[in-house]
Amino acid sequence: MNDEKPSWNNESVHPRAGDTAVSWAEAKAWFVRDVLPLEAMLMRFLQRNCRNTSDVEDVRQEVYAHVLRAAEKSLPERTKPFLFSTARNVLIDRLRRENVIPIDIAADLDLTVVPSEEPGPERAVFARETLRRLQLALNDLPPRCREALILKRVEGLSLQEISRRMGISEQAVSNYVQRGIFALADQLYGEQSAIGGEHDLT
Amino acid sequence: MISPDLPPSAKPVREEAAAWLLRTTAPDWSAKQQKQLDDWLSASEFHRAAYWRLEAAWKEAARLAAIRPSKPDRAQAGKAFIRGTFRAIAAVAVFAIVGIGGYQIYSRPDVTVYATPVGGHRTLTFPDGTIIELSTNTEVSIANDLTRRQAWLTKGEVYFQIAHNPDHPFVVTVGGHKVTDLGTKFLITRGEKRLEVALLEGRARVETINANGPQRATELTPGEVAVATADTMSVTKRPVAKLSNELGWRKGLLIFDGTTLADAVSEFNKYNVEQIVIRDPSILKLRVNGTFPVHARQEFADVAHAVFGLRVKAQGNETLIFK
Repeated sequence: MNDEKPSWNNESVHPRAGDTAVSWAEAKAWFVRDVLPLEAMLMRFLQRNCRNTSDVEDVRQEVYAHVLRAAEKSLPERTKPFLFSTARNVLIDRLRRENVIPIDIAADLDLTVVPSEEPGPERAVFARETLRRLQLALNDLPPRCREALILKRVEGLSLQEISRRMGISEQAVSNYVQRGIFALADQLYGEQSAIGGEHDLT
Repeated sequence: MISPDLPPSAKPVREEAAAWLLRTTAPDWSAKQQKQLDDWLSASEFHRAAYWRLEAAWKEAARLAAIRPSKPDRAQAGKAFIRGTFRAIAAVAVFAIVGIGGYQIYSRPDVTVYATPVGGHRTLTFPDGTIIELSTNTEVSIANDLTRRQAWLTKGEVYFQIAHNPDHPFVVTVGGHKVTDLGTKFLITRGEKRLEVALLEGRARVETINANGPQRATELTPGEVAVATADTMSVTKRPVAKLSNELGWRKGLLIFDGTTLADAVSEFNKYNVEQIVIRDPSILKLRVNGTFPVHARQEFADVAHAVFGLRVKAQGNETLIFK
């Protein structure tokens, strides 16, 4: 697995410069299709291995940025081992950076354990599961927040119109909808309701 | 291995990504803003990861549809709506209906989203002969199962030429309104605050489906234009020739016939990244005639100069017109 270590210490990539092997569109399609469905698994892995659970989202973001940057050079053949070896490297780097523990102890951490294969959902089940998760996300939102999100996403109303209907400022509508977007993404990909609780923008 | 800069923390990046995503949903989202977004995405893979993740979730949320407050007085209407539109996938609908705090949520059938950028134009032709044409900066979702004959206009302007089927009318949902074809050619324009439905041929019904507000419905005959806001609906008559002018974009043309300079300029600005700005309120009401290709911004400015003696000046991305 270590041979799949990502190489993110290259010069910065400008994906629009045309000098990269993988287009933005391809990298994005790979990220959405192959990486995001692994997020729940990744989150469990990170929660097990992060010293501070409030860091989990920062670590996840760093892992995503690294896999994306590597994939924009060349798409990995097997996404899962690549994602988890990257996660492992990111965790070790963070430990070093924080200077919390000597490097040799990092080797003892339970970082090599990559979750075992879980059966992938069938396609038909997947669509239903998606809908169920969207509903769960909506369920967990405070009513006003939910209302703003529905008016925006489902009714397609403008922020101004929603602001008028709900009798709150456009900024407040925008905050509600943003919070709703985070909840949708967390529920769809991370399935982490505990993380969802942190999304207070007020 | 360690980059010289510490990675950004997730929260601010995520918030910025969500703010961008939200901006892209505005009706006046422009190619200029798209370029700014692309620049922001180019700046960092952290931005791309955060943005693409939220964008993917936002797209999935297109599955949510037809949410109505489950008030007792509306319950019947809501059920009728569901019976009509969801019979074909009753099995799915049954499990999909979930009551949440006064709302009922139904799944939207599988849709394909078609979109055009600023200045774009796209024609969709369907096996039954139905033609759907998207104008500039437009997004429309169409049910994949074509026998459902359903579409949702999220933003922009769409010309519908519907192959009529009396048993299965074609229904277009636009925010809190729906437009039902009764054998029709019509044009729907979704603006920031108002919806316009112009009927060229046949008949069409426009009605509110927003259970909170007053219920309004009207049936259009050719030459009639329904203008609906959240609270009002009115019908005006326009000569069919004038309506055809409004459809000039289908041929890549803007057709002005006694159009005010203000309206003409706002039409050009819909189709072009480079904007025309009128610096002088006193000339807004000048009347313009003529036919211009949608991108012939410069030619239009030249004519304004030649015909009205107005002055024209290029400044950055803008063309200023003043007395």
